[in-house]
Amino acid sequence: MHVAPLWSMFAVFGALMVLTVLTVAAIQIDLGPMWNVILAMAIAVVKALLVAAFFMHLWWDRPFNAYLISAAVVFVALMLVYILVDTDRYSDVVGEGDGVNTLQRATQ
Amino acid sequence: MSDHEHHGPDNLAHHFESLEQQTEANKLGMWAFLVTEVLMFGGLFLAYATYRANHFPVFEYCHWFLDTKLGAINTAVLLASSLTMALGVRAAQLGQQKLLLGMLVLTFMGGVGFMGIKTIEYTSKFKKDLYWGQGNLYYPVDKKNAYYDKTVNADLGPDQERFAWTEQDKLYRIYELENYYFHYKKGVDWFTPHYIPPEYRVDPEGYADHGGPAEPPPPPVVSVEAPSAEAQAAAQPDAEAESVAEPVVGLAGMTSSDIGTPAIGPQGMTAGVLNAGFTGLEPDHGHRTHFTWDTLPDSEKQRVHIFFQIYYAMTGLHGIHVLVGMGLIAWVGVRAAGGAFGPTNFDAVEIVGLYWHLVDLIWIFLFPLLYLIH
Repeated sequence: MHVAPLWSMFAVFGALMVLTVLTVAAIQIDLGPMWNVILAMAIAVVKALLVAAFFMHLWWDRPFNAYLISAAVVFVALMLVYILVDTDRYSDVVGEGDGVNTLQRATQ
Repeated sequence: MSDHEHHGPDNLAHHFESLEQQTEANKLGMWAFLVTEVLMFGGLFLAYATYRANHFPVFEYCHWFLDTKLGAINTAVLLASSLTMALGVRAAQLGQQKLLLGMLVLTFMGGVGFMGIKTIEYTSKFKKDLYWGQGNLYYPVDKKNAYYDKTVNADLGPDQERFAWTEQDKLYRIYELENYYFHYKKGVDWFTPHYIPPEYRVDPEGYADHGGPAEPPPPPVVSVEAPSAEAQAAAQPDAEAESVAEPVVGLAGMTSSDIGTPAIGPQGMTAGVLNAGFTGLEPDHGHRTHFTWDTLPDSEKQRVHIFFQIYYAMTGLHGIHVLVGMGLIAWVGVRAAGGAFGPTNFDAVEIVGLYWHLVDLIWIFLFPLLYLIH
């Protein structure tokens, strides 16, 4: 049994609150849609790591629990990448131009 | 029955050798469950990413209907309840019964606070007729229209104007819905994703001149690559014979404008991400794009409901998790009041804590994704 040190709990909570204020403040800065969302996600990842490592005890646990949850996150990220591969590769409007939409074409 | 004799503490199951092994096994089981939770929410995050990448203006416009201040307060409430939960686990490990009970009560109150603020947020959405599902067929009113009642909203600034809804607005909204229903009755299926009513179409092919669906235009010329000068010259003599050269291979019904221009930046996924914020717009290289109903691209006005569909799905599933977590905390709390937990028996508290922290983790990502769109 490992008991988490008291100071670490409050330190992590303080860091989480600071990062929350930071992410709200950072969105006011105009970095463009791409970098704003990347910055917001980077801050969120740091917060998530803090919660997982210390509040959820992964830092002191045997590493297998961390492997498990990391694998889940990695596979979600992998699927995200493959889904975003063909973003913006499609016509914005289905069937525009001939007055026949996809459903009608399929039933013709 | 010698196998079933207890050789250790009362709470040690006979198939474990030690309390430590039992705790490890319990936590491993919980982590395996949390993996499935991550995968379940992962599907929603994928839906979010796909729609945001393809229809960023919708997200930028709609997120102004969410209250960032309430979202930030909710984040703080949930983080604080995570702290009290972690302190509760610590108290259980150290056998501090009163502290454990106090921490569990505080954590439960954190859940109450979160759901209370969530209720306020949802209620304010409902008042603006923003629902999920079929009730989410939502089209904001163009304030320049005659239906805007200036006498009701005269004291509101321009930013608040679109949040103020009058009876006339509702009438107009219903009129719009009926109008679409009319299209539907005429045979045009507006439930088709991405369908744009004829009056909203941006039509370089001159399709609008043909009177809409009732009179389809001539078959579109499909060309993936522009014909070379020689090919055009070769086709010229045949033009008089009314046998126009067959177009280059392409999908049926696809016009050259559908193929679009190459994205700026590297090809493939990176190009998609780079252009994620500029769908339907000129790339503006980092300058703030604040969409109002007037500046929202026409094609995107029909997709406003997509954002709220995703918003309700993600926050709703998260809210259900908060309620389940509150139930678990109440259960552990009742047992803690009876003095059930101590240094040799704290697994239930720790596992409920893991669940509560996961709920917190999900919200850490939901908050910037839904409330802080730029």
